[in-house]
Amino acid sequence: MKKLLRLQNKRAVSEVIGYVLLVAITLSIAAIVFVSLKTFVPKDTVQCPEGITLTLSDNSCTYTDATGSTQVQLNLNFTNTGRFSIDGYFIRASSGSEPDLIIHPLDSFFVAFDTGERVENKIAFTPIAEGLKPNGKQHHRFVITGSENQELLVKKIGIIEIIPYQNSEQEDKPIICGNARVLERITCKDAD
Amino acid sequence: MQRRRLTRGISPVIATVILVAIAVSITLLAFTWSKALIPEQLTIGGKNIQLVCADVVFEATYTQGVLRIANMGNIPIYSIEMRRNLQGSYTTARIQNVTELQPGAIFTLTFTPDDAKSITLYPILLGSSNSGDQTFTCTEHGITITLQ
Repeated sequence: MKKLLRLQNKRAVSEVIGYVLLVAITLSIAAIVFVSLKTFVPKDTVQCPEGITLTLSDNSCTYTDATGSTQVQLNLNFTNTGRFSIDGYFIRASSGSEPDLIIHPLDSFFVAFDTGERVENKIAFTPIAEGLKPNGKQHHRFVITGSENQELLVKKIGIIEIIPYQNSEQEDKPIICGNARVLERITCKDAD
Repeated sequence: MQRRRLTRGISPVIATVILVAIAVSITLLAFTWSKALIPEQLTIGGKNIQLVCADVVFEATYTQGVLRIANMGNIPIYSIEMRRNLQGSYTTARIQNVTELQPGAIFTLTFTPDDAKSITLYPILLGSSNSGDQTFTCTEHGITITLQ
């Protein structure tokens, strides 16, 4: 009788170990599969919301050569006609009417007039914490001088490209609104 | 009689322990072996770099000998790989002068196409892995420019 009991006990133990092993192996395989596929789970991508619209109006561009040094003064009037605040923009210009040649960044020529501020390679609407609210307006000025930009100055600005951005709340970098890009033809006139 | 008892073998508990140890060892060996077969995963912000490639938005134009590449998305482009499509063949090279193209940034290059009929530009991203940062070319997200 004792022997029989012993045998039964042994069987029970081996069955439990069998189950434990099975569960352990299953968990290990599940863990390996999870770790290897974890990165493939799609995450929310940082992107600009629909409804960002920046409008330019009543712009002016004057070209002077009076003092012997060439100079282009560009006045841009921005209106936020979208549904969300815009924190700033990237600005580039073409030296001619060819849109494919918009290769000259203009941020370094920004002149802090009454609104706006240059932040690294972009221009921010002020106050920086608020940006340009819907229906808000701002006037920005760029004065382009210097021999390095002779090509741009001689041929004059043909098209300017404005790419709005919003500041990300989570990350310390701007969210580019490539879909809301503005291409504006500019006609520079000689100053009187 | 005593000898017989001794030759019975080890106790069931020890046998089970040994079996479990062997099973664990085999699992570890198999895991180490399979790890070498599976390529290391590159990620950007915890997301697999192959998925990040789909989020890259850039535009490229070639006019009057000037190649213009603009990053219009929110993923930094580490570099650009250029494939020159020749008559029935192609050559591939990384554009050396491209430093990381941050979102909104632009890169221009004066470039002569030689015999190329078209060029295809592929973004290269910098991902992180357990063994450090590595580059990855988004070969499925290139832009082809036909040259005149």
